[in-house]
Amino acid sequence: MLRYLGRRLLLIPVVLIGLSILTFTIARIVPGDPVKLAAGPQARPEQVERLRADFGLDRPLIEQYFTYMGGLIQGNWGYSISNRRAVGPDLVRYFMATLELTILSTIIGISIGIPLAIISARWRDRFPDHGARFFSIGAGSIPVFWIAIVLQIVLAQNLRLLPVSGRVDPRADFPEIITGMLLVDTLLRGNLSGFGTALRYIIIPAICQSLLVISVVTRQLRGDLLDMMNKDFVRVARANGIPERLIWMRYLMKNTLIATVSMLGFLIGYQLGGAPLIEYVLDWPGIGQYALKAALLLDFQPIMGATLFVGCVIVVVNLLTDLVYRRIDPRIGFK
Amino acid sequence: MSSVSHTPNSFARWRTENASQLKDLRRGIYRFMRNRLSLIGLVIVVVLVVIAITVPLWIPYPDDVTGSLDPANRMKPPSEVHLFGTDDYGRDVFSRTVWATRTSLAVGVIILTVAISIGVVLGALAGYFGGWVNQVIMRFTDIMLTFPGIFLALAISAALGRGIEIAMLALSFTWWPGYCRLVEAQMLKIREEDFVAGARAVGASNSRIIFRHILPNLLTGIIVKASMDFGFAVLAIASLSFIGVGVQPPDPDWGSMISQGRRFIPNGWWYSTFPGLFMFITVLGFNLLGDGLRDLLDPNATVR
Amino acid sequence: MTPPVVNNLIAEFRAGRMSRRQFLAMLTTLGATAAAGTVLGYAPALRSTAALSPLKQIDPKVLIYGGGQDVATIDPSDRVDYSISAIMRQLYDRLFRFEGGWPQPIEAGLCQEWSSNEDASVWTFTITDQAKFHDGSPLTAMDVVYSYQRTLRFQRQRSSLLSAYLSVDGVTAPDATTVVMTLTTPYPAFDRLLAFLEQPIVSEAIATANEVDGDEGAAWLVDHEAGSGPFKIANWQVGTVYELEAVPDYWQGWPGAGRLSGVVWQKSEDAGTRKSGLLSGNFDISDTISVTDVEEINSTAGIAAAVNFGLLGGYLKYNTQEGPTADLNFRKFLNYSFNRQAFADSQLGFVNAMTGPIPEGIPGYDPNAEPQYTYDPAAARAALDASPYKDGGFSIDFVYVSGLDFEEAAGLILLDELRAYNITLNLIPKNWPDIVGGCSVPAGGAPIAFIFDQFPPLADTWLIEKYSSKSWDRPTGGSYQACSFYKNDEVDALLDELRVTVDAARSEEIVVMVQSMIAADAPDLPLYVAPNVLGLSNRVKGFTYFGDISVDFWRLWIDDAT
Repeated sequence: MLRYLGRRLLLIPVVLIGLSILTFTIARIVPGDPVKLAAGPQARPEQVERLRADFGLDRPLIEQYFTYMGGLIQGNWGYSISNRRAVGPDLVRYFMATLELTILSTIIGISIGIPLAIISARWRDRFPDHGARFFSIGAGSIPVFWIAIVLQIVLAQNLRLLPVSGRVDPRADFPEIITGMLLVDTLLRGNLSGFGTALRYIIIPAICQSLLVISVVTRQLRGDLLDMMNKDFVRVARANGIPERLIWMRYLMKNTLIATVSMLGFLIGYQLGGAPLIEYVLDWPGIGQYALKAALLLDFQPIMGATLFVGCVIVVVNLLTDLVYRRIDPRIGFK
Repeated sequence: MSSVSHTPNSFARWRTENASQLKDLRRGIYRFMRNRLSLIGLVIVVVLVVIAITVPLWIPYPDDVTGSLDPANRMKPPSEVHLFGTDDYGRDVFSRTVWATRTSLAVGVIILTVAISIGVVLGALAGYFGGWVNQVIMRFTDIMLTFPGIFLALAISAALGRGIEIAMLALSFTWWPGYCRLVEAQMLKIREEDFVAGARAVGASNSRIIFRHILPNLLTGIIVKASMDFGFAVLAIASLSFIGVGVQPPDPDWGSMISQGRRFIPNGWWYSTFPGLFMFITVLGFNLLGDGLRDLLDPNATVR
Repeated sequence: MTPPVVNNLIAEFRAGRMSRRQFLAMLTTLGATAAAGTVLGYAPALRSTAALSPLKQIDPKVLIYGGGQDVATIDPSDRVDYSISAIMRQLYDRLFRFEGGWPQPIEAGLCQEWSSNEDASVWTFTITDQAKFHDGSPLTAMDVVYSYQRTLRFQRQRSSLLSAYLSVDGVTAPDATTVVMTLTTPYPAFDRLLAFLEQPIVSEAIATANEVDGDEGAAWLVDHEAGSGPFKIANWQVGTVYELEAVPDYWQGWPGAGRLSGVVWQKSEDAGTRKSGLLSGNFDISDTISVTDVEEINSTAGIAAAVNFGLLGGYLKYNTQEGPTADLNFRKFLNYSFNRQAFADSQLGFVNAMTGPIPEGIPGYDPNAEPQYTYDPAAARAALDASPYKDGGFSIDFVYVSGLDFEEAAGLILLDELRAYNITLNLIPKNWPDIVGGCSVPAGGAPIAFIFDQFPPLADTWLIEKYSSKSWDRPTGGSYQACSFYKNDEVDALLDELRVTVDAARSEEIVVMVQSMIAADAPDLPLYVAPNVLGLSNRVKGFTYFGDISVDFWRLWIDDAT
């Protein structure tokens, strides 16, 4: 396993460098002048040029790339042209919000998805199966911005059960930041009311995001369970009189979780890339919003920073997922 | 094997050669027909395709999809004259909603065609040849997989300008990695099979082996994935239109209609609701169909 | 520390009376119940008015503002944006104020008296000695000088218009309460220009104390303040909420019958969410409300919409150098074929039609400038026939900012009209940066672009920035404001003279003349002045419109009694 791990780890920089070149090329090739935009409409030509020089955007492209990568290796993620904020701290800040949302939505997704899949497989082709399948497929068919709007209008605007948008209560004390994830931070300090507030603000975005997880997990797990149920060793176990419940717990669940784990890894990675639509409608300050705005403004260093940061995260998540399922399934091994 | 390709009754020969697969297929179709949900999916998809193809013949207000306005008629609720009511420019929402079916289905087809073409070829090459070819292709695929799709769509559309075609191109580029990985994984398994060794022993060239012998076996996996991806493609284009990168006016599109109609909720509920329903049913139909196809064709397929 | 229930569970599990699965299941259920209980426990409190927090004493004097834009940076020498200005006005003082009403009278700020010499080339300002920064240190003329010099040194957006008249050495402070500015070009309306450029006065000491690598405090001032204004920063959460708290003993006092104790600017970029926030009481004020929401807001109890017209002028700018729009008659044709009434209808009547190149409300505006382009199909037909394009048969691009429904409405209306002439209008939504990038030079510039202009209410600024060929005819191109690439030598000569003349009568004469000359050339269609629409809760008092998208929090207070 260590050799496999070593080989994969060596490849990570390759992937990231490739990603950086690809992103850099696209960001610089796209027409449009972020400097002119940041300098403002009444900017004199000299002012625009000076701003361009300040950010090193008048140097040849190759030099710009190496300057940026050089800075990156030293831990300098650069600055935004449009507001001169350092990219690094902002990336972390926005990312922790996305991480929090991802974790919660995955938990919700699994909590609903796994039972649904079990129900579906257990009573295959009967009513519970149809109901569960319709629900899970339907959940994956709803456009996420649509459900965000609907929940916002029904739960927040009309029923006033939950806040309309945002992440923090403007009328309350802002909770102390330790990890950047409010649910965790409030619990760490024993701040139960703060926890409740943070939960109220995160619940609608989390529900919207979890629909995809429910949909994928249910369908994947159901399919795998059905395959497994027809396997010989299960038939033998049944024939030998082992109670149904035990069969489910010991034989079926353990063996079918592999593909689902792999799917989960993929889903987590996908969610960690941000959910620009949910973040836009519900004002959730996640990395999707950060990257989208940077992309719209052609703000070169935030674009690079966001893409590489998220890329790194996804690569790591993929690696962890791979390790986990190769560990679980001895047949696949560490080739 | 193939030197006697001119015999009459080659269809009969094909039937005998593939007899066992055909029997599986028949059994699968039987199961499919019994599965209510998959049937619903099939019916929905068929109806949508029929709508998309025939709509120019029966659309009630054809001018409303090419730009004519009727401001005096704005925001009228559903009636006999306007089944789904009118929008804020007085255009018939029903006409625009069903017309958008054409766009959405066409978009899905194009995106998937491009994505599959690229992905399958690359995946087949990577899986078959292994070694450094595999490493290069799969690492490139990894890179593309970590690339945020929306950013790419924005960037490409900024570079090349116009809306929907460019958005489709951009989405295709973010979609092909999935097919590449699917095909590569299958290819790795299949190339060790006996029939491939046999073909090699007889002296078949590599490309012949890949395209004539192996790929047909992968077809089912690709079809299943494609039918499920179709729904996501429609959703993706709608999402881009919602942000404003996508279909350009006055062409109707579900995503932009939902976005524009949102201002009128709840009094003008029909503006957003009907396009939303249509989109939901479309995506649902393809997803149900895909799910059913998976049960039918390839019970061991792994969804990626 | 663990509750007794959990202790019992653990004991049971250890004793072997419970399987691991059951144990985990129980824990999860308990956890879920606890979470649900926390949420639901607060639900009744939430259903009462205005989504008040149960956490601390209800403070009715904090105003929650739903802003359509983020507050990117509060460096006093960097960017200018309506959200940034709204916050800067509260954190910092300026030489002058103008938020007292519309059209904007200028009031004294830090500057109590001011005067200029004969030819308006040297200006003297007397600074108050009452102002104090938030750390207690006094504000002096040296800080004023530092602030202006810093802006001129940085050469960023805030310095753009100022640089035309002032250089770094031109600002001096002979003593602690006097500032002297020596202009590079004499300008009689310099005081008005300064008022509208709203340079925040920053403490030299604090800025220098936070200097890193000679940046003059730039890195620190992005999200910290060193000002003397009526509010200071309580909490600055990037991308979410920006919380200000009042400085009760603010040196200029508080103008209203009450005052706010704090303001929270909550970034809410989606218009629908902003409206929802207002309707559900999450926000006390929401800005940039769509005109289609006005009726709904007005018919909801407890809130009302405020619709006002400032100086945000919307123009269809034609590329006068290239393509069919280079032909004068074709441009007249376009102007006469735009159905203004249909556009007003699409905006529910919230339209202030413009008649000439500059909007009403600017001193020097000429209501009689001719020709004025109204919807006239007969005149349109005549103009088209006089142009080389009378048979139509081609398509032309209409570029606008994607997502802005009022711009799209204008495009659709024009599209519909042009069909009758066998001309196809291509509606091309683009992102704002793309439009800015495409407006530099005539070659490849959009034939028709929907652009909004807003400048200080100084006629010369409007005319020169938009219609002088010097604004675009240079190697690096121009900005989106000059994207009609208009070049008329007579107008250029007059505008050059306008730039330097100190004779008020002659200035006015030129301004009036030039408006008609430009209108005759039809470089654009001056469509309308867009409304500033705010939604306000009835508990917010003291609001007066002063021409801006946002509000002046200093003048507001909250009264729940009425």
